[in-house]
Amino acid sequence: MSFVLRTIAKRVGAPDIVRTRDIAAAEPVVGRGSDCDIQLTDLAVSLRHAVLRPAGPNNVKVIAQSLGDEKFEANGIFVRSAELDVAKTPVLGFGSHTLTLTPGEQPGQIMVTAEARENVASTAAAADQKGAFSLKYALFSQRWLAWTLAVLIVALCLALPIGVFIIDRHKTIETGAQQQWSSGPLSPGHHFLEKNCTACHQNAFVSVRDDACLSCHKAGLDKQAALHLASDLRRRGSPFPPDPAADHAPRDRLMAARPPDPNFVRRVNTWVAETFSHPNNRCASCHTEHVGDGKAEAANTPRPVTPDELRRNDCKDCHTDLKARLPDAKVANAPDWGHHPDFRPLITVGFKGDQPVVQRIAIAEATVQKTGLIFGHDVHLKTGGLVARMARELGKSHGYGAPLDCANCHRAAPDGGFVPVDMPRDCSQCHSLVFDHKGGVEQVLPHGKPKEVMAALKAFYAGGRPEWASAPAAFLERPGLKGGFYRSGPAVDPVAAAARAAFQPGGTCTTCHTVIQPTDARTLNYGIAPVAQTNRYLPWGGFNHNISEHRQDALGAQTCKTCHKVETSAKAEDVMLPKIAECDTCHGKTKPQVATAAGADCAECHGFHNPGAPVPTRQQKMATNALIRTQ
Amino acid sequence: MSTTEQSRRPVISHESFLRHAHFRWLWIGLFLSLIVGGGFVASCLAHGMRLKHTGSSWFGYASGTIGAGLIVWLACLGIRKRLMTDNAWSLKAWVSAHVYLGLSLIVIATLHSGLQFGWNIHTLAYALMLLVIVSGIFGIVMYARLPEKLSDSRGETTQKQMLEKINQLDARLLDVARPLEQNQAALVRRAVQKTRIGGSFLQRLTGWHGNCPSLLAFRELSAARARMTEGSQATALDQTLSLLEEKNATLAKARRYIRLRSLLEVWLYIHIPATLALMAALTAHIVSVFFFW
Repeated sequence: MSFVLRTIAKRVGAPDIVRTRDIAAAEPVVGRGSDCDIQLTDLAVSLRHAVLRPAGPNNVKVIAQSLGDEKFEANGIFVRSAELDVAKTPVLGFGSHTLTLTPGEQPGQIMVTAEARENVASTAAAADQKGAFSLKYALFSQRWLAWTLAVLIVALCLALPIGVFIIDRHKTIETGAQQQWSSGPLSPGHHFLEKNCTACHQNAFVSVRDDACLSCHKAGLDKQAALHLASDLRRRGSPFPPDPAADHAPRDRLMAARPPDPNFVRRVNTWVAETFSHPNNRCASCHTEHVGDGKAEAANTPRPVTPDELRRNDCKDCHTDLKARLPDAKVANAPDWGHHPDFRPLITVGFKGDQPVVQRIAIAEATVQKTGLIFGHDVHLKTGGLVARMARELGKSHGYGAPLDCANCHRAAPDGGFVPVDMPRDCSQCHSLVFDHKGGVEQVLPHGKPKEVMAALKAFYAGGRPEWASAPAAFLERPGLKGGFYRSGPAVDPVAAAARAAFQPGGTCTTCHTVIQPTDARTLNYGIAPVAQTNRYLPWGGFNHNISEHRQDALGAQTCKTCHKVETSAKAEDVMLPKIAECDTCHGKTKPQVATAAGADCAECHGFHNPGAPVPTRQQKMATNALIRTQ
Repeated sequence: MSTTEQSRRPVISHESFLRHAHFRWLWIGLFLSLIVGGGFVASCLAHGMRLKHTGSSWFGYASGTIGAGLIVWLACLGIRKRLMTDNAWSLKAWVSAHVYLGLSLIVIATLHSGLQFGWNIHTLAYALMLLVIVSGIFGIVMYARLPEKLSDSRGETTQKQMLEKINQLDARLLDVARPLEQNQAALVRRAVQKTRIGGSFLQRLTGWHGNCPSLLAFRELSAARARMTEGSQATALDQTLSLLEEKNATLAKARRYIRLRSLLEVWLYIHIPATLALMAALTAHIVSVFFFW
């Protein structure tokens, strides 16, 4: 009898049950079958799994041999056969059971201790069953996922941008970490700043200040500085130079002019804006960013401010009862078009030296201005008479050919005004300054300062020419000569004769100019009274003569005379500006009323940053919607 | 007459959280949405405001404050449901408010957003909020439809009984299958040890268990039985098959139940993590807006 079997049955909370019996077989069979010597109740064990054969002297060894294909464990290794040294307490594993071999109490005896292993598989099954009814055990943990997501978002979307802001104030690295905070694309002009948040948002928790805007858009830079700025911005990716933006009045006055909030909604809005350090008097209050679609109308042009973006103070907010808040305001109240004050044109009231002295005078009183000229519009614009005949005679080759009209002298400028009347260009076809001939070439007095006239005459007559002793024939046929011929005495100084022919009463210059006679007639120091042509009578409004409705009627005929009563003006001093009522015939009217009906919004004539010019046509529609909207 | 009828009704009747207090919170939610909608219209009229850039107007701040407050309060349901309180603020009332105020957030947050979306933290917060709301709606639908089916699917048995029955069947299977051939025994062993009642996430949701070891064992052993002549092996196999059949029937019932329960739970796997993610994104949204003010 070589083998003794000891079975240990474990019990929970009680001592194990140990049974010992001798095994009759000399070579016991291990298996699940009831005929086995060592029976293991485990489906993982074959019916007849293996046999144990004692070996070596005094049974110091055991040869375990599989009886089929199934392997068994010998000291943790799956084998079909193994020679085991009993003294080393080998452990055989069959399914969930272990057989431990130890030397028996008697020599040559082998003790086989059979024990059920802690059943790993059934433990796993128990865990599965425990969680069978809840998803918790089939899926990740909700809590784990929730915290992971939350921590990730805080780290990437909050800590990272703030960290970059603190560490990299000067934008040395292009991270774009803060771009995820951008609520929408910037306008095309600012697109190059998309990753450079701190260009505008300079301080944390402080709204965008005007300083940030004006670092590029400051008006009134000298040419050098403007060029430098433009090139710097181009280098940083700006598609065009910045538009300088001027305030239409000093900032403190603008602020003082603001009216109190008219209603509850506005009061709440102002309270919110100021409480949250977001006042609505900043550039960014109107020029809102991050709201566009990021698309330019044309690739390389700035997108105009849209009504959506221009949404704060209306013109009328400040320009109603302005004097109450700004007693020294020079501009009159203009609460709306219907109450727009009449014009106060800039009138030249005199001269200081050569410089005109101008004053703004209400149009009703502004009937006379100083021009320094002698001129009658009526004479020139008559369809019959001397001037008309002369114009016809000059013919089309000289740009005439018909009685004069306004455009013969007043040439449109691209800015909507007129190029100043230039005597040589606009008058000299008739009012000739020719004073002599030389070799068949007409000699013309320079139009300008009397000193230049004298210098030209002296230069011309420097050699002296007896045949020129008589008065220059050139003057004989020109306007300003009241018939007859100059019959000067013999051997006259030709310079003096020519000068007198020009400057003395009845002379060439006196046709249009007031000549200041020299204190000593012999000195020939003639002077011309200063002259002023007013380029813009209404510097705070942008009337554009180039708009077709402003200059011609439906048939294309010029309509200058509708506004400017020139045909009855005999003197250059006449102020021939229309009153605002003239504008009113179209502006503020509806299409059914007038075919040429036009808007009555402030921005038709006044821009915010430059009140002297209308908002450019392209932006006009949009800007007017925004600026003049009434509540 | 009607008064008499009403008084005869049982005092305590089941009322779902959706119908709580005659839809009180539905009306409150609608009222809140209307207030915010009215604020939006007023703001549009006052400033000629279009849909965009609503966030930085007084309406934007107001609706944002209401929305953020609501989100924080709604998330507090997770705390409230763990607390035992008296009936003053019953959990049912709380859940009812949670549902309807949560739905009103769709209106409030959408108007607050001004429909200005992009790849940014603000839209992330909005999207997470919608995800939370949509998953919540799924949950409501499930809760409205499933509990009845759930108790039906279990029949008279409880979860524990179902588990115990399967365990007992397993124990008997191990016993009965002892005389079987090795490969047959292996099938039974697999059926006992590897059969998972719930299974993977998808198995739980779909109820598909085609490769279930118990089903496989039954199929294989049935085939083997068909080829076998009578004998002690056949008797053991018959017993095994009968036990397996019973186990499979029990499994099927348990799995139907599990599927329904999983449907009741699955939305929470989006709802809860998305809520916490939303809280993080909301914090980032608010901080970022005021940081770059």
